[in-house]
Amino acid sequence: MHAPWRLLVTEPLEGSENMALDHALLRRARRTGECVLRTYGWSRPTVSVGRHQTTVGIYDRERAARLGIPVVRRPTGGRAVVHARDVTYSVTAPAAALGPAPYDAINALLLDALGRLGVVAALAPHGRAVRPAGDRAALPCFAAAAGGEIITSGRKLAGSAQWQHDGALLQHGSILVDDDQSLLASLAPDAGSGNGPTRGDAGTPDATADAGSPGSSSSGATTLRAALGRAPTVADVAEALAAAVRAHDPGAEPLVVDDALRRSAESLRAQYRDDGWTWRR
Amino acid sequence: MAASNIPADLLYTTDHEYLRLAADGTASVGITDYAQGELGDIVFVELPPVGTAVAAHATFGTIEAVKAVSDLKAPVSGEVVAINPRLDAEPALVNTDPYGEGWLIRIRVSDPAARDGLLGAEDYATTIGG
Repeated sequence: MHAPWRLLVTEPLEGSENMALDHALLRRARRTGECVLRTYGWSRPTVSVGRHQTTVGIYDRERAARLGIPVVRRPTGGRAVVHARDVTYSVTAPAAALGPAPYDAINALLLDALGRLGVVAALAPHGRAVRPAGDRAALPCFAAAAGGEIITSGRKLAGSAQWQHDGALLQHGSILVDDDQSLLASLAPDAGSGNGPTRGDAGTPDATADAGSPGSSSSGATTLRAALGRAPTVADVAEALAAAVRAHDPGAEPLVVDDALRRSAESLRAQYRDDGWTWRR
Repeated sequence: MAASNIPADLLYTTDHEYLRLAADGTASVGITDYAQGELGDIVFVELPPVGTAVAAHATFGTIEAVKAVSDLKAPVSGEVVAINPRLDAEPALVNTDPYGEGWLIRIRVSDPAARDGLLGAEDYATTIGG
């Protein structure tokens, strides 16, 4: 990894703000030649869906609004993720900065960081079944691990997806601290009125987690709590990720969000607030 | 890894798209066998509506493999006259038959001389180390 790295930890933001800032960081990567690892959270439980994922008919827009769960469409690929008690990261880089296999390079960083937290994780073997045929639109991100994704005890711990655009790349990923992915079921059009959280419950996703085993899930996911027996904070995970980056680039320094980056993000925010983008298919 | 298939009768770009010229002034565009192999299992292809004007080297759509979304770049300028109707339900055709049933769009080429900037099969093979 020859390009210089920068590190950014931001306070929890709205979904559209998070996506706009990551998009702006992609543009910055192309402009500056620098890689940035950003670690962040969400100001309230939010569902992000993949760039091409079908949302219409899969998730109920009115129900999501009624439950107070924002839905945002990422510019990256992949499937739906509930961001509640997870840690989200983004890596932005010039296209060639991470070598011929940037996805693998970033996963190596993640494995290093998880090891620093005390998690014994591995990459899922390539060639295993990714998703059932014919159910492409409906399957959530954490239902199954694709080859190369990060697993522990055979279950998916981190979901990642990438967008390669105009000479730069953006990779999004979510590392579960606790498993709130069952919240997705409450957004389905045929979800019973009693199955989802009330508006007031949206800030406490435990309401829909597996009641008997909060650290694991029938969804195929696992969590840092299950792996460690405790729940690390966002700051703990951010520091482990930063340490992994510094192991590759000892000169990696914090990124200061300057006016140019702030303006760029603000100009991009409209796209991610637009229902025409979020519910376009 | 098996050597990539690079048909001799097509033209190529360094972005790994191909152009198959027809006698009527249209051309089919797709991604190469090398590109589909690098991307892995294709799960979605987003293409522009018929009638869209596309510009050489500009993005005309996106393609999603299992873990990454990538831009699709037009080899030449022109107007989209057809899109592959099967890809919405069968995006894996791009993997299994990139030069045949996995074609992406057909365009009416606006400047036939633009093909001069494209690569022949031998030169494309060199760019991918083949």
